[in-house]
Amino acid sequence: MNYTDLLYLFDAASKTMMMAIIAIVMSTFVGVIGGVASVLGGRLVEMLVLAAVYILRGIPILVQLFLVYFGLPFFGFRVSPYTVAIIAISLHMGALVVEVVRGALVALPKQQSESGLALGMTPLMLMIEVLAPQALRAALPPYVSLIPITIKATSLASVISIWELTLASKEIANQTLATFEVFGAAFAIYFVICFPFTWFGRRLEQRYTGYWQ
Amino acid sequence: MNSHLRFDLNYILRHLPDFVPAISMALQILALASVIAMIWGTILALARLGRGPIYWAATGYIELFRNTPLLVQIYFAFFGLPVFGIFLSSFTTGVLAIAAQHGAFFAEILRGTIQSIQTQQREAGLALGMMPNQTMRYVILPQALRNAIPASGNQVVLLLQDTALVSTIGVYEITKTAHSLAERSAASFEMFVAIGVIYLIISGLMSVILRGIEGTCRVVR
Repeated sequence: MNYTDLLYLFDAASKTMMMAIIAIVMSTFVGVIGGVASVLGGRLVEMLVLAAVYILRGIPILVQLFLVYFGLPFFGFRVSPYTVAIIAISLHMGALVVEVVRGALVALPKQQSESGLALGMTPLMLMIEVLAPQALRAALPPYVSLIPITIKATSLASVISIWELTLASKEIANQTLATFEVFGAAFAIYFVICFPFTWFGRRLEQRYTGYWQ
Repeated sequence: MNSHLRFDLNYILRHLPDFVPAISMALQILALASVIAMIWGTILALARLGRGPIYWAATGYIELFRNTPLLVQIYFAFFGLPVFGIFLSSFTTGVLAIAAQHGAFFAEILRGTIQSIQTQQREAGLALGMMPNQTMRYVILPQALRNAIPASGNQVVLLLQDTALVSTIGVYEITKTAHSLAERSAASFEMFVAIGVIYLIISGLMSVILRGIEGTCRVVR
């Protein structure tokens, strides 16, 4: 493994980060909409969201990747493998975000929504002005700790031949046979990307529990 | 476009028996990897309570394995170990790679429950004339392990999902079997729907069993 190979890995790492950023944004979108809808939308919506979360959480991301990969053409949609990976990872992680958002909203005292409604607020106003600001604080630590999980999940996209860090290191390992160095470098790069979020999530958690207890 | 919208249920039903060895393979990986990961996790958690090089080695290991993808760890073990003259079957490699990562997760769970055992208990043990390691072994660890049961149960369900990753190194568990059946037919989507349902059923059953174990092991305080 030489300098050029290392640059190749850095290039691939930027692809990994790009994919992770898109997936995080999309899963946040899915998760916040799903979580808020399950709290405000009444019994039927809640049950539908919970069923979707159960299914998305219970199936391995790798299998979901193949489900989307073969499922979209089955229903007549043609999309690139990159889009497939983004959709599959965003849905799986979105389900985890739904749980974080729901957990934070449900934990709020019931009197808050009751008094808000009694004051004549619409459910949406209640959410934006009373519930969301408080829930945000409780949701932040577990949300941040989902970020490294998303980054790690992007490695699975290599299985449907998306060129990112895992596939690139496999390529170089096969060419140079310097398996130890190449995968060691890949470990180091993933660690450098993921660890700050793990650390920050843990800090937030300690701070939050310290504040209330 | 709707003309080819035909879900081939018969293909799934015809190949359902093919999944019996696949499921048994996945369950073997699950059982072996869970047991090894729990033992390894306990060792790591105890090492992390120590001081000096032992603490740093355990901490470094846990953080490295928690912050890198399992897939890369599997590739590293599968392609890297032979370079050092270690030749293992893909099954063994898969089990060890999963156990290596999940050991780090179990260690973190156990560290949390050990720390939550009150310091009074430790002091009481020491006051009774027990050595620090005896206090750990007879007083703190039994309680910490029991308190770790609910979180470990959830972790084992996540481990089931990770068994799908060993399909990438050619172990014929559920995902790999579906993949090879899909390649031989036009019913790829159907195959993966089928195994999605299989995974849901297995993890559903596991949750029921784990709730049962949790109920039996709960201490009324």
